[in-house]
Amino acid sequence: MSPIDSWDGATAVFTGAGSTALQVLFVLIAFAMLVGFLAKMVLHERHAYAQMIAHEPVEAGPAVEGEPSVY
Amino acid sequence: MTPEDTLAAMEAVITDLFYWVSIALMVAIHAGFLAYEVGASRSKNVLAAAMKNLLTFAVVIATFFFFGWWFYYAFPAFPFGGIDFSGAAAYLPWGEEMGPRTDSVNGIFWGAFALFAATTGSIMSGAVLERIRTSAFLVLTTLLGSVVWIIGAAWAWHGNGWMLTEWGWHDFGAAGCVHLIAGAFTLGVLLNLGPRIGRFVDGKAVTIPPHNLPLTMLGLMMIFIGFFGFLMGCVVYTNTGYFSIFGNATTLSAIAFSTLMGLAGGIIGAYVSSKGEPFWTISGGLAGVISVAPGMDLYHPALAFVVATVGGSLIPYLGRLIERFGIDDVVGAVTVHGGCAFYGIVVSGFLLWGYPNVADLPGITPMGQIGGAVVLAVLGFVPGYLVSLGLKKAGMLRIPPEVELAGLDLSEVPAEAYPESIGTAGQPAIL
Repeated sequence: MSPIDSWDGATAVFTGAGSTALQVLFVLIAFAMLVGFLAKMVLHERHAYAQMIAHEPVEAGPAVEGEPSVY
Repeated sequence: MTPEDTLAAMEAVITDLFYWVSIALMVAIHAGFLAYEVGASRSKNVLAAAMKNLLTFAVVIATFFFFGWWFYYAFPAFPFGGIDFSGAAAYLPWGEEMGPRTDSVNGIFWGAFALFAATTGSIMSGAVLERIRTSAFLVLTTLLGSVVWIIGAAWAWHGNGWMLTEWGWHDFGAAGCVHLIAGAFTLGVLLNLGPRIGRFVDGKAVTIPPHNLPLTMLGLMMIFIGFFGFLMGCVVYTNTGYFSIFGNATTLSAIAFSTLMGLAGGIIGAYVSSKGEPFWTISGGLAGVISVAPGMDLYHPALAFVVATVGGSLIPYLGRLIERFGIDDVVGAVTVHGGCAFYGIVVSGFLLWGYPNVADLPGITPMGQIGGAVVLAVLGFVPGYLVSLGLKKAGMLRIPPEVELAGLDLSEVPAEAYPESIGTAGQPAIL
């Protein structure tokens, strides 16, 4: 992925420099990961609130160290 | 290497180093906000408050790379002129300036502005404590930190911004684009979010005390440290001297006078008007610096002290005024940031009246400053109100009442803040 063959006179040295398609690809993947994080957070919140209201543990299995007890 | 090449290389190195230090110091603002909000929360919500601050930092910085920085270069003339698509193309996330180069220091300027963005997004954080969904907050803080404030900065904190070129606007320390926009945006969100359960009973305000006021005070002291990085980043460093963003010559010495006298005046003013109440007294330091921010490159230090003392003395009254409308602003963000920024900008219009701007740009006037303050307040309030209203209608803004009563740490955060004392479920967590 190197955009340069030599450091002599090199200016843009980042991966994908000179290839808009490659840089757009990097950005799209990174942005999709951010959107995925937000979606995962919404699901986690919904699940956690429902479990708490039902007096059930938020996560299955024995409580890990430091995890709060069931409400 | 010619002497000219050597000088150019040294300028790039010192510019990099100057803003690198500014960025590092600004991280202290976020450590401060975290401690401040953790202390202001009840013990059942402390870890959720801390996580919200941590995630704000991460999400705003990432989104500021994806689209925030582009707005700064695209919007200075808009709506009087067009959006500068071609000039801003290099600052799209796949643009030629948005990665490591040997011939550009754009990254360090992006970094400093990313920290300004995260700071702006975090200002709202404390106001909405203990009842907002973290996911909704992250959507709102992204809008505030990576879209709204940076459009305000393009208008009001840019050498070609229309508020400078048309109205002679002057705001050295970003009172308008950071503090006023954040305060107005927060007010719009609070109107839709509503108060915490138990905050108002039969229309009367009930105080919900913070679980750790000393931690809140320590957090504000850390924000004071971070302010030196923030204000350092407000200076344009060149190899021929320092300039404000508006192009006038200044020095860090000028800013040292105003920052310290602003801190001192704000604390004293708030102490007197709150009758020594610790929360308002230490918030007075913040209020003082924000009050003097528009003219801190020009005020005489004693005048800065006077402006800051009045600003600090206003905040307990502004806080009570907001409370009368049934608005629950947990940390006084609307009051301290929005209220004191508006006051500071209006006062600067009269105190700085007649100062010229550089080249043929119009000079500073009361109408230019007041008009600019109104524009920035509207720019902050409208998107904050509308987007939070949309989230409210979709049932995505506020946590369920059962969760609010039991505490967020019990459901959302898989850890106990104080396991050796009372657990979040009400019983000793460790026997």
